[in-house]
Amino acid sequence: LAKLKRVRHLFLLGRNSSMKLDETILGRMKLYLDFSARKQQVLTSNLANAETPGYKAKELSFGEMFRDQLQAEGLLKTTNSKHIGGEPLLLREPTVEERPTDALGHDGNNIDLDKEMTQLAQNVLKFSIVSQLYQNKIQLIKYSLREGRV
Amino acid sequence: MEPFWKILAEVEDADLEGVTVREVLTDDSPPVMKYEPSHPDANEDGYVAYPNIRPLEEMANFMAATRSYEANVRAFEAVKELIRRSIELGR
Repeated sequence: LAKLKRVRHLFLLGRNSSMKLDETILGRMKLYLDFSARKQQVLTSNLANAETPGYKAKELSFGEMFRDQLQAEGLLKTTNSKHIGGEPLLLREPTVEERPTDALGHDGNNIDLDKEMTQLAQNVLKFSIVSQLYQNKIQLIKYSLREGRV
Repeated sequence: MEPFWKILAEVEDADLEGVTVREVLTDDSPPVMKYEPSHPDANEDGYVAYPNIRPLEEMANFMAATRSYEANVRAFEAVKELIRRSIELGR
């Protein structure tokens, strides 16, 4: 019965607090996983077009998106202009951007296969890390639900 | 300010594109003429029109194609890895 009470308590705690799922740590990780999956799409699109004349490499940047999200939630308030997120809030455009051109091939395509592959590997790694963290967090919640018994 | 998921959805709709073969074209560059008067296919001047294939160019294209094929295979495997990880989240 005590256990049931505790579960109910946790449930109510979740419901009554003003925290939405997106603002919990699990929600944050979900955001990152979503982002990572989308980034994979952009990268594979780049790879597929490695030989397309005139194609410009596209990029999805996490830092800005995430900061904007935090700012919108009012979590990154700044008291000093040197703090991260000091700029005013701007409405966002869709965030697929063309990567600044460094070396253009003769056909106007600026995709560097090696660069794309590195990004791809990096993305998979980060996804793995975050999903592992996610699982660990779930394990913790399960652990406390079992009142510390293994 | 749009929520994060909405931005991501827009990204999905943005112009990410795959590739398809539109058509196979014939290379119209002139044939390689070789002077072989004794050849049965020789013209009245004694020249034979050999194919306009340049092996070096073919090999270079071949290598580029192989490289990008491999890159795409690896991208495929990367996506599979992400999916595998996602499935494991439910365990």
